[in-house]
Amino acid sequence: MVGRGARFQESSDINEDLQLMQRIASGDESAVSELYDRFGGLVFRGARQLLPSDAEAEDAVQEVFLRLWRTADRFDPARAKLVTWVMLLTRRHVIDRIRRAAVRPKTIEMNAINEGFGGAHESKASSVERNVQLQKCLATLPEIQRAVIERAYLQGFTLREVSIQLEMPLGTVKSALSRGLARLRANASQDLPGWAAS
Amino acid sequence: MKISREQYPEATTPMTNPPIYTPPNELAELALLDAYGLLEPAEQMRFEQAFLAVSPDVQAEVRRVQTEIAMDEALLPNCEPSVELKIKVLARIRSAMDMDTSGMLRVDELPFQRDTLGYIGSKSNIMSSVWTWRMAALVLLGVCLTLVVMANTSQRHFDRMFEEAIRLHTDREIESALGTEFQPYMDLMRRSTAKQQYVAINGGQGLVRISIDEATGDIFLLAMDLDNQDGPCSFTIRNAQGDELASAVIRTDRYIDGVSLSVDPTLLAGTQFVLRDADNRVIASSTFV
Repeated sequence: MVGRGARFQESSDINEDLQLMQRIASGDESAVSELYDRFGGLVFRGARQLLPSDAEAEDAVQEVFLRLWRTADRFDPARAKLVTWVMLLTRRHVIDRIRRAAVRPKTIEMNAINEGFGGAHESKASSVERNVQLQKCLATLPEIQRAVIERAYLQGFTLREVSIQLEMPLGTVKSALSRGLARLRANASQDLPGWAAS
Repeated sequence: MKISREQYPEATTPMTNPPIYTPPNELAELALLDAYGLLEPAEQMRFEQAFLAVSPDVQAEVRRVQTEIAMDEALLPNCEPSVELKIKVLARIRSAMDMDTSGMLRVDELPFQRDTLGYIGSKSNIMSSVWTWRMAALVLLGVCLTLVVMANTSQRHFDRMFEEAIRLHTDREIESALGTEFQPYMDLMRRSTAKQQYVAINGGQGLVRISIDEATGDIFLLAMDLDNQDGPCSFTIRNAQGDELASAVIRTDRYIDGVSLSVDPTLLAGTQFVLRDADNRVIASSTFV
């Protein structure tokens, strides 16, 4: 159960979110700036997780904020919190971008990590570190879950495509993916506490 | 995310259509995949419908889980965007705002787009949309059929043009090889009422090809390979009663000769063609059929 104080806090947040998006929808530039200050870093990291270079990620951030501005009037706080809305648009955009531009990162092999994997704009060390951590977490997952996450989340294949590639029913792919992602999150926060950004 | 069956009552929000039942475990699965942006549009719509159909408690739980995923940075790289990025983002949006205020509509604001979206969004209009598509398909079919007929007509026209071109080319070839002397033969052969008949000398020593226009009685004799004869040959056309209708002398000092004649077309039936050599001996004959 959620306490009364927490509920009050939540409704206050919801109102703030709604007001911010309403200001953006009405063309208030300072509201856009505020939105960027709140979510710019998160959106960038979300994009950088899947895109091969900082330049690509920065381009994606611009597109995401443009889309947030365009769809500001459609934000519905009853449906989702603003952070959820922002990250949902980010992830959808990044996955679309991977699919459209065919910039799918290759399936990361453990031995390939030592050779470096990442874009030209990112230092090899941080790129390798990022992928080593992700790969470590992925390695803890059962093979099927790992395979579907790599294909659907990291390489941008649609669930239908993954289902064909792995010769598995679509429902099984979805289940494996959701279980795998949940487990990946759990493993990441337990095993690598120092790695997560603040 | 734990959503029990008890938390999953019938729809509490008024809806025009009965809500589609989505099992709780599937709803949880969809919520998670949606938060990661992995649902395809149809699945997104299904999830949205399922979300609206559940109780406020379950909706709150879905919201909580999705917010948790959105804010979870455990799997995100530990990096920061460049300072210039904010400037770029704001400049990009300002430029888009300027375009909007200068009267340039966004794609999703174009009237046809808005109408289309409204069309798709409204359940009651889905049938109209279906009929629109059907009408469009019919129109397309009509266009296809017209194109096929046009292509067929064009092909026939082209064939005729091609035949005519070939004929003209052949005429020119013959004319260049034999001169204009045989032009009456070429003209005669183009007539639909023209018939061909041969009077051949035994042993293949020569022949006369007779082209007859049954409608007008115009005749052209094309004598070939008679150059082995000692002198000019004579060609006679007689009717069934033996009366001479026409005659001509055929030169044999060259391998091909042509002569034009004309007879009364009503007398053509049963006509006899007789070819005689220089000594007036009959060397070939034939009856018009």
